[in-house]
Amino acid sequence: MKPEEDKIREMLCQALPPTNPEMKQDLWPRMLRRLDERHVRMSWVDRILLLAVSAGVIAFPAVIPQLLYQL
Amino acid sequence: MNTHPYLRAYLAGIAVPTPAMLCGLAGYLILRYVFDVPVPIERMAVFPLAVVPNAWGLWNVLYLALHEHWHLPIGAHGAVLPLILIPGGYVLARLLSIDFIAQNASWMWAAFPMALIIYYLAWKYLVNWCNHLLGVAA
Repeated sequence: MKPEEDKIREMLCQALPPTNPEMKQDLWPRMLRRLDERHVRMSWVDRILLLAVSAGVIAFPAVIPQLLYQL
Repeated sequence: MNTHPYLRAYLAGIAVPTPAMLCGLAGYLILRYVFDVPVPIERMAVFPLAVVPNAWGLWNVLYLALHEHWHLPIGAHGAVLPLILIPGGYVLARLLSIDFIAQNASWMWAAFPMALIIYYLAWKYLVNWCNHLLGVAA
């Protein structure tokens, strides 16, 4: 088995290019910048819609299982 | 980030319902095993676990595919999804004999406008934010 394993290993090394274990750069700061790029502000119409849904759920709690199932 | 835009759109789409699904599932498990409410959790979980997140992902892929030709606002695009999901969920509930969904159709219709609003807001703010983060349709 040993020569066959060595042959497979050699063939794999030939087929696959060597990978660089070190990342070229740290991606997390870029991610943080992207997270900071956009600050979401909710319009007053959307706030009213959110309040209406919240009021509806409080007024009719029987819809909660339906909403949980559908969403 | 120019590679695999549809894969990124799919991932951005499923990023919102997946954590919400975990919360919903936790709620059902508490109802079932703590308060002994007879909820058929195994049958019930099929739709929210398997169908809904995939539908969100694929709907976002569709949004990206249509985006170049048809500039529908993402909130409106998302608000259309319950028009497919709710009847689909109801049919599945009937097929799987999930009685407390299938036999309470009136509450399902009451939940319809709420679902439209929730989907509109979720897509306008959350999915849009995920799309921006992953560079999809931005």
